[in-house]
Amino acid sequence: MIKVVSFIKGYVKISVEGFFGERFLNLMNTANVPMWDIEKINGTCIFLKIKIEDFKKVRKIARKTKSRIKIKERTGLPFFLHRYKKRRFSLVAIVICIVIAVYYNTHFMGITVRGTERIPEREIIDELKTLGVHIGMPIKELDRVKIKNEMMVLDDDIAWIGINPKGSRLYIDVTERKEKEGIIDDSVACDIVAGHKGVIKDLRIREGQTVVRVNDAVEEGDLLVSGVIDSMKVGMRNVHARGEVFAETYYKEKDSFFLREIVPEETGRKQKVTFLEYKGNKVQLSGKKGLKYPDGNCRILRKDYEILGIFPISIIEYEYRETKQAEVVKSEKETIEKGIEELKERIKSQLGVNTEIRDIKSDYVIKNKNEIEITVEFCCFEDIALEKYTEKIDFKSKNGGIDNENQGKNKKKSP
Amino acid sequence: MIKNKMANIISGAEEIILDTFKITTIGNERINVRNYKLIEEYTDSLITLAVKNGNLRIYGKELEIKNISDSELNIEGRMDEIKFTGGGK
Repeated sequence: MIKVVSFIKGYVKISVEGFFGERFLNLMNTANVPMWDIEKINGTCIFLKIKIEDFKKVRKIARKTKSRIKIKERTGLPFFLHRYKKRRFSLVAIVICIVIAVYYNTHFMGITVRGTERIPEREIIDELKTLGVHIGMPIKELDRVKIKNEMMVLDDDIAWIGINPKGSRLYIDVTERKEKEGIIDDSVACDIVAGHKGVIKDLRIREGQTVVRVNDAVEEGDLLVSGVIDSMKVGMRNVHARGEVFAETYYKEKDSFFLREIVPEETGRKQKVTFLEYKGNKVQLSGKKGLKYPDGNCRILRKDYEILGIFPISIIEYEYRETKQAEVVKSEKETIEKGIEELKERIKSQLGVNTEIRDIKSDYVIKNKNEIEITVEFCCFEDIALEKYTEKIDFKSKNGGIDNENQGKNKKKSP
Repeated sequence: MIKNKMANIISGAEEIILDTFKITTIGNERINVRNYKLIEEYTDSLITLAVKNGNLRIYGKELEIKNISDSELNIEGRMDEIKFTGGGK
Protein backbone atom coordinates (compact mmCIF):
# COMPACT_ATOMS: atom_id res chain seq x y z
CA MET A 1 0.00 0.00 0.00
CA ILE A 2 2.82 2.39 0.91
CA LYS A 3 4.45 1.56 -2.43
CA VAL A 4 1.22 2.33 -4.30
CA VAL A 5 0.82 5.65 -2.49
CA SER A 6 4.49 6.47 -3.15
CA PHE A 7 3.98 5.66 -6.83
CA ILE A 8 0.90 7.88 -7.10
CA LYS A 9 2.60 10.79 -5.33
CA GLY A 10 5.95 10.18 -7.01
CA TYR A 11 9.42 9.84 -5.54
CA VAL A 12 13.06 10.31 -6.53
CA LYS A 13 16.16 8.29 -5.91
CA ILE A 14 19.08 10.63 -5.15
CA SER A 15 22.77 10.15 -4.59
CA VAL A 16 24.48 12.18 -1.87
CA GLU A 17 28.21 12.56 -2.24
CA GLY A 18 30.23 14.07 0.59
CA PHE A 19 32.23 13.33 3.70
CA PHE A 20 29.39 13.89 6.09
CA GLY A 21 26.83 11.36 4.97
CA GLU A 22 25.65 10.53 8.48
CA ARG A 23 25.24 14.22 9.31
CA PHE A 24 23.23 14.65 6.17
CA LEU A 25 20.89 11.82 7.23
CA ASN A 26 20.54 13.29 10.74
CA LEU A 27 19.71 16.75 9.40
CA MET A 28 17.20 15.25 6.99
CA ASN A 29 15.55 13.46 9.90
CA THR A 30 15.53 16.66 11.96
CA ALA A 31 13.85 18.40 9.03
CA ASN A 32 11.17 15.66 9.08
CA VAL A 33 12.03 14.29 5.64
CA PRO A 34 11.07 10.61 5.38
CA MET A 35 13.74 8.51 3.63
CA TRP A 36 13.84 4.90 2.59
CA ASP A 37 16.07 2.36 0.83
CA ILE A 38 19.21 4.09 2.13
CA GLU A 39 22.25 2.37 0.59
CA LYS A 40 25.81 3.24 1.46
CA ILE A 41 27.61 2.70 -1.84
CA ASN A 42 31.07 3.65 -0.56
CA GLY A 43 32.67 5.85 2.09
CA THR A 44 31.43 9.05 0.51
CA CYS A 45 28.29 8.14 -1.45
CA ILE A 46 24.79 7.30 -0.24
CA PHE A 47 21.75 6.44 -2.34
CA LEU A 48 18.32 7.13 -0.86
CA LYS A 49 14.74 7.69 -1.89
CA ILE A 50 12.64 10.70 -0.92
CA LYS A 51 9.27 12.18 -1.87
CA ILE A 52 9.21 14.80 -4.65
CA GLU A 53 7.81 17.44 -2.33
CA ASP A 54 10.84 17.08 0.03
CA PHE A 55 13.41 17.68 -2.67
CA LYS A 56 13.64 21.44 -1.93
CA LYS A 57 14.56 20.74 1.69
CA VAL A 58 17.32 18.38 0.53
CA ARG A 59 19.14 21.13 -1.33
CA LYS A 60 19.40 23.31 1.78
CA ILE A 61 20.72 20.42 3.85
CA ALA A 62 23.21 19.48 1.12
CA ARG A 63 24.58 23.01 1.19
CA LYS A 64 25.02 22.80 4.95
CA THR A 65 26.84 19.46 4.78
CA LYS A 66 28.79 20.37 1.63
CA SER A 67 27.36 17.36 -0.22
CA ARG A 68 26.58 16.98 -3.87
CA ILE A 69 23.11 15.83 -4.81
CA LYS A 70 22.23 14.03 -8.02
CA ILE A 71 18.87 12.64 -9.06
CA LYS A 72 19.36 9.03 -10.13
CA GLU A 73 15.78 7.94 -10.79
CA ARG A 74 12.40 9.55 -11.10
CA THR A 75 9.55 7.22 -10.36
CA GLY A 76 5.79 7.64 -10.06
CA LEU A 77 2.67 8.87 -11.75
CA PRO A 78 3.57 12.61 -11.93
CA PHE A 79 6.71 11.78 -13.94
CA PHE A 80 4.81 9.31 -16.10
CA LEU A 81 2.17 11.90 -16.92
CA HIS A 82 4.82 14.53 -17.55
CA ARG A 83 6.65 12.20 -19.96
CA TYR A 84 3.47 11.65 -21.94
CA LYS A 85 2.47 15.31 -22.03
CA LYS A 86 4.21 15.72 -25.37
CA ARG A 87 3.02 12.33 -26.64
CA ARG A 88 -0.65 13.14 -26.48
CA PHE A 89 -1.71 10.44 -28.89
CA SER A 90 0.02 7.76 -26.84
CA LEU A 91 -1.70 9.06 -23.75
CA VAL A 92 -5.06 9.07 -25.53
CA ALA A 93 -4.41 5.50 -26.76
CA ILE A 94 -3.59 4.37 -23.21
CA VAL A 95 -6.73 6.02 -21.86
CA ILE A 96 -8.84 4.40 -24.62
CA CYS A 97 -7.29 1.00 -23.85
CA ILE A 98 -8.10 1.43 -20.16
CA VAL A 99 -11.67 2.51 -20.96
CA ILE A 100 -12.17 -0.46 -23.32
CA ALA A 101 -10.67 -2.88 -20.78
CA VAL A 102 -12.96 -1.53 -18.06
CA TYR A 103 -15.97 -1.62 -20.41
CA TYR A 104 -15.25 -5.20 -21.48
CA ASN A 105 -14.97 -6.30 -17.88
CA THR A 106 -18.15 -4.65 -16.70
CA HIS A 107 -20.49 -5.37 -19.62
CA PHE A 108 -21.71 -8.53 -21.32
CA MET A 109 -19.74 -9.11 -24.48
CA GLY A 110 -21.52 -12.23 -25.65
CA ILE A 111 -24.60 -14.36 -25.09
CA THR A 112 -24.40 -18.11 -25.60
CA VAL A 113 -27.59 -20.15 -25.73
CA ARG A 114 -27.17 -23.81 -24.83
CA GLY A 115 -29.48 -26.80 -24.85
CA THR A 116 -31.90 -25.75 -27.59
CA GLU A 117 -32.98 -28.04 -30.42
CA ARG A 118 -36.38 -26.81 -31.50
CA ILE A 119 -36.29 -23.16 -30.50
CA PRO A 120 -33.91 -21.07 -32.63
CA GLU A 121 -31.13 -19.37 -30.65
CA ARG A 122 -31.93 -16.06 -32.31
CA GLU A 123 -35.51 -16.25 -30.97
CA ILE A 124 -34.27 -16.59 -27.39
CA ILE A 125 -31.75 -13.78 -27.87
CA ASP A 126 -34.53 -11.55 -29.26
CA GLU A 127 -36.80 -12.42 -26.34
CA LEU A 128 -34.00 -11.59 -23.92
CA LYS A 129 -33.54 -8.30 -25.73
CA THR A 130 -37.18 -7.39 -25.10
CA LEU A 131 -36.51 -7.97 -21.39
CA GLY A 132 -33.46 -5.69 -21.53
CA VAL A 133 -30.79 -8.38 -21.68
CA HIS A 134 -28.46 -7.75 -24.61
CA ILE A 135 -24.81 -7.58 -25.55
CA GLY A 136 -23.35 -4.48 -23.98
CA MET A 137 -25.61 -4.60 -20.93
CA PRO A 138 -23.86 -3.77 -17.63
CA ILE A 139 -23.18 -7.02 -15.73
CA LYS A 140 -24.32 -5.60 -12.39
CA GLU A 141 -27.75 -4.69 -13.81
CA LEU A 142 -28.62 -8.33 -14.52
CA ASP A 143 -31.43 -9.58 -12.28
CA ARG A 144 -31.17 -13.32 -12.84
CA VAL A 145 -34.31 -14.37 -10.95
CA LYS A 146 -36.48 -11.74 -12.66
CA ILE A 147 -35.23 -12.56 -16.16
CA LYS A 148 -35.61 -16.29 -15.52
CA ASN A 149 -39.23 -15.91 -14.43
CA GLU A 150 -40.13 -13.49 -17.21
CA MET A 151 -38.56 -15.70 -19.88
CA MET A 152 -40.53 -18.72 -18.70
CA VAL A 153 -43.73 -16.70 -18.85
CA LEU A 154 -42.84 -15.17 -22.21
CA ASP A 155 -41.96 -18.38 -24.06
CA ASP A 156 -44.24 -21.37 -23.57
CA ASP A 157 -41.73 -23.67 -25.26
CA ILE A 158 -39.26 -23.15 -22.41
CA ALA A 159 -39.68 -25.62 -19.56
CA TRP A 160 -36.71 -24.26 -17.61
CA ILE A 161 -34.10 -21.59 -18.18
CA GLY A 162 -30.81 -20.93 -16.42
CA ILE A 163 -29.12 -17.51 -16.55
CA ASN A 164 -25.44 -18.00 -15.81
CA PRO A 165 -23.02 -15.10 -16.22
CA LYS A 166 -19.40 -16.18 -16.54
CA GLY A 167 -16.97 -13.30 -16.81
CA SER A 168 -18.28 -11.01 -19.51
CA ARG A 169 -20.23 -13.77 -21.30
CA LEU A 170 -23.80 -14.73 -20.44
CA TYR A 171 -24.71 -18.39 -20.77
CA ILE A 172 -28.39 -19.21 -21.24
CA ASP A 173 -29.13 -22.86 -20.50
CA VAL A 174 -32.51 -23.82 -21.90
CA THR A 175 -34.56 -26.94 -21.37
CA GLU A 176 -37.29 -27.10 -23.97
CA ARG A 177 -40.78 -28.28 -23.23
CA LYS A 178 -41.08 -31.81 -24.58
CA GLU A 179 -44.41 -31.43 -26.26
CA LYS A 180 -46.55 -28.44 -26.80
CA GLU A 181 -50.09 -29.58 -26.39
CA GLY A 182 -52.80 -27.98 -28.45
CA ILE A 183 -55.94 -27.09 -26.60
CA ILE A 184 -59.33 -26.82 -28.15
CA ASP A 185 -61.50 -24.23 -26.49
CA ASP A 186 -64.01 -25.85 -24.12
CA SER A 187 -66.84 -23.91 -25.76
CA VAL A 188 -66.12 -25.56 -29.14
CA ALA A 189 -67.73 -28.92 -29.93
CA CYS A 190 -65.41 -31.73 -30.96
CA ASP A 191 -65.12 -35.48 -31.44
CA ILE A 192 -62.40 -37.77 -30.22
CA VAL A 193 -60.68 -39.81 -32.92
CA ALA A 194 -57.88 -42.38 -32.81
CA GLY A 195 -54.47 -40.76 -33.00
CA HIS A 196 -52.85 -44.11 -33.76
CA LYS A 197 -53.74 -47.60 -34.89
CA GLY A 198 -54.29 -49.99 -31.97
CA VAL A 199 -56.51 -52.21 -29.86
CA ILE A 200 -58.57 -50.38 -27.25
CA LYS A 201 -57.94 -51.55 -23.70
CA ASP A 202 -59.52 -48.89 -21.50
CA LEU A 203 -62.09 -46.11 -21.99
CA ARG A 204 -62.43 -43.19 -19.56
CA ILE A 205 -65.00 -40.93 -21.20
CA ARG A 206 -66.24 -37.87 -19.34
CA GLU A 207 -68.33 -36.29 -22.06
CA GLY A 208 -69.55 -37.38 -25.49
CA GLN A 209 -71.06 -40.47 -27.08
CA THR A 210 -68.68 -43.49 -27.03
CA VAL A 211 -68.82 -45.39 -30.33
CA VAL A 212 -66.20 -48.10 -29.64
CA ARG A 213 -65.73 -50.79 -27.01
CA VAL A 214 -62.78 -52.40 -25.21
CA ASN A 215 -60.82 -54.85 -27.45
CA ASP A 216 -62.00 -53.09 -30.60
CA ALA A 217 -59.26 -52.65 -33.17
CA VAL A 218 -59.15 -49.13 -34.55
CA GLU A 219 -57.27 -47.45 -37.36
CA GLU A 220 -55.76 -43.98 -37.18
CA GLY A 221 -58.52 -41.37 -37.59
CA ASP A 222 -61.39 -43.67 -36.58
CA LEU A 223 -64.09 -42.01 -34.50
CA LEU A 224 -63.91 -43.08 -30.85
CA VAL A 225 -66.15 -40.63 -29.03
CA SER A 226 -68.70 -38.52 -30.85
CA GLY A 227 -69.33 -34.89 -29.99
CA VAL A 228 -72.96 -35.31 -31.07
CA ILE A 229 -75.19 -36.64 -28.30
CA ASP A 230 -78.72 -37.81 -28.80
CA SER A 231 -80.56 -37.96 -25.49
CA MET A 232 -84.15 -38.51 -24.68
CA LYS A 233 -84.41 -35.38 -22.54
CA VAL A 234 -82.76 -32.70 -24.69
CA GLY A 235 -82.53 -34.46 -28.05
CA MET A 236 -79.58 -33.98 -30.40
CA ARG A 237 -76.82 -31.59 -29.35
CA ASN A 238 -73.14 -30.86 -29.94
CA VAL A 239 -70.71 -31.25 -27.02
CA HIS A 240 -67.01 -31.00 -26.44
CA ALA A 241 -66.06 -34.71 -26.19
CA ARG A 242 -63.69 -35.36 -23.32
CA GLY A 243 -61.84 -38.42 -22.08
CA GLU A 244 -58.95 -40.83 -22.43
CA VAL A 245 -58.86 -43.86 -24.67
CA PHE A 246 -56.04 -46.21 -23.76
CA ALA A 247 -54.99 -48.67 -26.40
CA GLU A 248 -52.30 -51.22 -27.15
CA THR A 249 -50.42 -49.75 -30.08
CA TYR A 250 -47.72 -51.16 -32.32
CA TYR A 251 -44.81 -49.36 -33.93
CA LYS A 252 -42.75 -51.15 -36.52
CA GLU A 253 -39.53 -50.15 -38.26
CA LYS A 254 -37.74 -52.19 -40.90
CA ASP A 255 -34.49 -51.38 -42.68
CA SER A 256 -31.48 -52.95 -44.33
CA PHE A 257 -28.02 -52.72 -42.81
CA PHE A 258 -24.74 -53.56 -44.50
CA LEU A 259 -21.66 -55.36 -43.26
CA ARG A 260 -19.39 -53.41 -45.59
CA GLU A 261 -19.89 -49.68 -45.71
CA ILE A 262 -18.08 -46.83 -47.35
CA VAL A 263 -17.90 -44.02 -44.86
CA PRO A 264 -16.01 -40.73 -44.90
CA GLU A 265 -13.06 -40.88 -42.50
CA GLU A 266 -11.13 -37.85 -41.27
CA THR A 267 -7.45 -37.91 -42.24
CA GLY A 268 -6.39 -35.47 -39.53
CA ARG A 269 -5.45 -32.74 -41.99
CA LYS A 270 -7.42 -29.57 -41.47
CA GLN A 271 -7.64 -25.98 -42.57
CA LYS A 272 -8.79 -23.12 -40.39
CA VAL A 273 -10.23 -19.94 -41.80
CA THR A 274 -11.43 -17.10 -39.61
CA PHE A 275 -13.74 -14.33 -40.72
CA LEU A 276 -14.89 -11.10 -39.15
CA GLU A 277 -18.51 -10.36 -39.95
CA TYR A 278 -20.13 -6.97 -39.62
CA LYS A 279 -23.69 -6.50 -40.85
CA GLY A 280 -23.43 -9.39 -43.32
CA ASN A 281 -20.05 -8.29 -44.71
CA LYS A 282 -17.24 -10.76 -44.15
CA VAL A 283 -13.54 -10.02 -43.94
CA GLN A 284 -11.05 -12.87 -43.73
CA LEU A 285 -8.82 -12.46 -40.70
CA SER A 286 -6.64 -15.52 -40.88
CA GLY A 287 -6.06 -18.66 -42.92
CA LYS A 288 -5.09 -19.18 -46.52
CA LYS A 289 -7.41 -18.16 -49.33
CA GLY A 290 -9.05 -21.02 -51.22
CA LEU A 291 -10.39 -24.15 -49.65
CA LYS A 292 -8.10 -27.16 -49.56
CA TYR A 293 -10.76 -29.61 -48.42
CA PRO A 294 -14.10 -28.33 -49.73
CA ASP A 295 -15.66 -31.80 -49.56
CA GLY A 296 -14.50 -32.51 -46.02
CA ASN A 297 -16.33 -32.05 -42.74
CA CYS A 298 -16.75 -28.47 -41.67
CA ARG A 299 -17.05 -27.28 -38.09
CA ILE A 300 -18.31 -23.72 -37.61
CA LEU A 301 -17.65 -21.79 -34.43
CA ARG A 302 -19.37 -18.43 -34.20
CA LYS A 303 -18.87 -15.84 -31.48
CA ASP A 304 -20.94 -12.66 -31.35
CA TYR A 305 -19.68 -9.47 -29.80
CA GLU A 306 -20.99 -5.95 -29.54
CA ILE A 307 -18.24 -3.36 -29.38
CA LEU A 308 -19.19 -0.53 -27.03
CA GLY A 309 -22.76 -1.76 -27.30
CA ILE A 310 -23.12 -0.27 -30.77
CA PHE A 311 -21.22 -2.33 -33.34
CA PRO A 312 -22.37 -5.95 -33.53
CA ILE A 313 -19.55 -8.07 -34.92
CA SER A 314 -19.10 -11.81 -35.22
CA ILE A 315 -15.94 -13.86 -35.38
CA ILE A 316 -16.64 -17.00 -37.40
CA GLU A 317 -14.14 -19.80 -37.47
CA TYR A 318 -14.50 -22.51 -40.12
CA GLU A 319 -12.50 -25.66 -39.60
CA TYR A 320 -12.43 -27.83 -42.71
CA ARG A 321 -11.30 -31.38 -42.07
CA GLU A 322 -10.14 -33.53 -44.95
CA THR A 323 -11.98 -36.79 -45.34
CA LYS A 324 -11.38 -39.83 -47.48
CA GLN A 325 -13.72 -42.67 -48.34
CA ALA A 326 -12.90 -45.65 -46.20
CA GLU A 327 -14.44 -49.10 -46.19
CA VAL A 328 -15.59 -50.27 -42.80
CA VAL A 329 -16.23 -53.98 -42.33
CA LYS A 330 -18.41 -54.98 -39.39
CA SER A 331 -19.25 -58.40 -38.06
CA GLU A 332 -22.77 -59.77 -38.35
CA LYS A 333 -23.33 -59.46 -34.61
CA GLU A 334 -22.13 -55.88 -34.55
CA THR A 335 -24.27 -54.92 -37.56
CA ILE A 336 -27.38 -56.48 -36.02
CA GLU A 337 -26.82 -54.83 -32.63
CA LYS A 338 -26.21 -51.42 -34.16
CA GLY A 339 -29.16 -51.82 -36.54
CA ILE A 340 -31.53 -52.77 -33.72
CA GLU A 341 -30.37 -49.80 -31.65
CA GLU A 342 -30.84 -47.43 -34.57
CA LEU A 343 -34.35 -48.71 -35.29
CA LYS A 344 -35.24 -48.50 -31.59
CA GLU A 345 -34.13 -44.86 -31.55
CA ARG A 346 -36.22 -44.17 -34.67
CA ILE A 347 -39.32 -45.62 -32.99
CA LYS A 348 -38.67 -43.84 -29.69
CA SER A 349 -38.56 -40.52 -31.51
CA GLN A 350 -42.14 -41.17 -32.68
CA LEU A 351 -43.50 -41.96 -29.21
CA GLY A 352 -45.35 -39.48 -27.04
CA VAL A 353 -44.15 -38.44 -23.60
CA ASN A 354 -46.63 -40.61 -21.72
CA THR A 355 -46.36 -43.68 -23.92
CA GLU A 356 -45.53 -46.81 -21.95
CA ILE A 357 -43.33 -49.37 -23.75
CA ARG A 358 -44.60 -52.84 -22.84
CA ASP A 359 -42.68 -55.10 -25.18
CA ILE A 360 -39.93 -54.89 -27.80
CA LYS A 361 -39.46 -57.53 -30.48
CA SER A 362 -36.67 -57.67 -33.01
CA ASP A 363 -35.97 -59.95 -35.92
CA TYR A 364 -33.47 -60.09 -38.76
CA VAL A 365 -33.07 -61.77 -42.12
CA ILE A 366 -29.68 -62.20 -43.79
CA LYS A 367 -30.42 -61.19 -47.36
CA ASN A 368 -26.95 -61.84 -48.77
CA LYS A 369 -23.28 -61.75 -47.68
CA ASN A 370 -23.41 -58.01 -47.18
CA GLU A 371 -27.01 -57.13 -46.32
CA ILE A 372 -29.11 -57.86 -43.24
CA GLU A 373 -32.72 -56.78 -42.98
CA ILE A 374 -33.71 -55.93 -39.44
CA THR A 375 -37.22 -55.43 -38.06
CA VAL A 376 -38.00 -53.94 -34.67
CA GLU A 377 -41.51 -53.78 -33.23
CA PHE A 378 -42.63 -51.96 -30.11
CA CYS A 379 -45.79 -52.88 -28.26
CA CYS A 380 -46.94 -49.81 -26.33
CA PHE A 381 -49.77 -48.69 -24.10
CA GLU A 382 -50.93 -45.13 -24.58
CA ASP A 383 -53.78 -42.69 -24.73
CA ILE A 384 -54.68 -42.45 -28.43
CA ALA A 385 -57.50 -39.93 -27.99
CA LEU A 386 -57.19 -36.99 -30.36
CA GLU A 387 -59.63 -34.12 -30.43
CA LYS A 388 -61.13 -33.28 -33.81
CA TYR A 389 -63.63 -30.57 -34.59
CA THR A 390 -67.12 -31.99 -35.11
CA GLU A 391 -68.92 -31.61 -38.43
CA LYS A 392 -71.27 -28.68 -38.05
CA ILE A 393 -74.81 -29.82 -37.38
CA ASP A 394 -77.20 -27.07 -36.47
CA PHE A 395 -79.23 -28.21 -33.46
CA LYS A 396 -79.25 -24.68 -32.02
CA SER A 397 -82.75 -23.88 -33.09
CA LYS A 398 -83.98 -27.07 -31.52
CA ASN A 399 -81.74 -27.66 -28.46
CA GLY A 400 -79.44 -24.68 -27.88
CA GLY A 401 -76.24 -26.78 -28.07
CA ILE A 402 -72.72 -25.54 -28.78
CA ASP A 403 -72.25 -23.89 -32.16
CA ASN A 404 -69.00 -24.75 -33.86
CA GLU A 405 -67.28 -22.11 -35.92
CA ASN A 406 -64.00 -23.92 -36.48
CA GLN A 407 -64.24 -26.88 -38.78
CA GLY A 408 -61.84 -29.24 -40.43
CA LYS A 409 -58.90 -28.58 -38.08
CA ASN A 410 -57.25 -31.23 -35.94
CA LYS A 411 -55.46 -30.54 -32.70
CA LYS A 412 -54.06 -32.75 -29.98
CA LYS A 413 -56.49 -33.11 -27.14
CA SER A 414 -56.32 -30.91 -24.08
CA PRO A 415 -54.56 -32.39 -21.06
CA MET B 1 9.82 5.48 39.82
CA ILE B 2 6.65 7.25 38.67
CA LYS B 3 7.89 7.04 35.08
CA ASN B 4 8.39 3.29 35.42
CA LYS B 5 4.88 2.84 36.80
CA MET B 6 3.43 4.96 33.97
CA ALA B 7 5.41 2.92 31.45
CA ASN B 8 3.97 -0.28 32.89
CA ILE B 9 0.46 1.12 32.60
CA ILE B 10 0.88 2.47 29.07
CA SER B 11 2.49 -0.46 27.41
CA GLY B 12 3.74 0.03 23.85
CA ALA B 13 5.13 3.53 24.37
CA GLU B 14 7.48 2.87 27.26
CA GLU B 15 10.51 4.30 25.39
CA ILE B 16 8.78 7.68 25.08
CA ILE B 17 7.83 7.88 28.74
CA LEU B 18 11.19 6.62 29.95
CA ASP B 19 12.98 8.76 27.31
CA THR B 20 15.14 5.86 26.22
CA PHE B 21 15.52 3.70 23.13
CA LYS B 22 13.80 0.46 22.19
CA ILE B 23 15.21 -2.27 19.95
CA THR B 24 13.11 -4.92 18.25
CA THR B 25 14.78 -7.62 16.19
CA ILE B 26 13.22 -10.15 13.85
CA GLY B 27 15.72 -12.98 13.59
CA ASN B 28 19.12 -11.56 12.78
CA GLU B 29 17.94 -9.98 9.57
CA ARG B 30 15.80 -7.09 10.67
CA ILE B 31 16.13 -4.59 13.47
CA ASN B 32 13.91 -1.72 14.50
CA VAL B 33 15.27 1.05 16.73
CA ARG B 34 12.91 3.55 18.26
CA ASN B 35 13.70 6.82 19.98
CA TYR B 36 17.34 7.00 18.85
CA LYS B 37 19.11 10.35 18.78
CA LEU B 38 21.51 10.37 15.83
CA ILE B 39 23.22 8.25 13.25
CA GLU B 40 26.91 8.35 14.20
CA GLU B 41 28.33 5.96 11.67
CA TYR B 42 26.89 4.12 8.70
CA THR B 43 28.75 1.48 6.69
CA ASP B 44 27.62 -1.85 5.35
CA SER B 45 29.31 -3.68 8.26
CA LEU B 46 28.65 -1.30 11.16
CA ILE B 47 25.90 1.10 12.05
CA THR B 48 26.41 3.21 15.14
CA LEU B 49 23.47 5.07 16.63
CA ALA B 50 23.59 7.62 19.40
CA VAL B 51 21.00 6.77 22.01
CA LYS B 52 20.32 8.07 25.52
CA ASN B 53 23.33 7.47 27.77
CA GLY B 54 25.50 5.84 25.15
CA ASN B 55 25.95 4.36 21.70
CA LEU B 56 24.31 1.39 20.05
CA ARG B 57 26.58 -0.53 17.69
CA ILE B 58 25.17 -2.99 15.22
CA TYR B 59 27.76 -5.20 13.55
CA GLY B 60 27.00 -7.38 10.56
CA LYS B 61 27.25 -7.75 6.80
CA GLU B 62 25.38 -5.98 3.97
CA LEU B 63 23.67 -3.71 6.47
CA GLU B 64 21.27 -1.22 4.99
CA ILE B 65 18.97 1.37 6.52
CA LYS B 66 15.61 0.62 4.96
CA ASN B 67 13.86 3.70 6.17
CA ILE B 68 14.25 6.59 8.54
CA SER B 69 11.33 8.46 10.02
CA ASP B 70 11.01 10.92 12.83
CA SER B 71 12.26 8.75 15.70
CA GLU B 72 12.36 5.34 14.16
CA LEU B 73 14.86 3.50 12.04
CA ASN B 74 14.73 0.10 10.34
CA ILE B 75 17.83 -1.85 9.41
CA GLU B 76 18.08 -4.92 7.23
CA GLY B 77 21.05 -7.19 6.61
CA ARG B 78 22.83 -10.05 8.36
CA MET B 79 23.45 -8.93 11.91
CA ASP B 80 26.22 -10.53 13.94
CA GLU B 81 26.33 -8.45 17.10
CA ILE B 82 24.48 -5.63 18.87
CA LYS B 83 26.52 -3.77 21.41
CA PHE B 84 25.61 -0.95 23.80
CA THR B 85 28.42 1.27 25.00
CA GLY B 86 28.00 4.04 27.60
CA GLY B 87 29.19 7.60 27.25
CA GLY B 88 27.20 8.62 24.20
CA LYS B 89 25.12 11.74 23.72
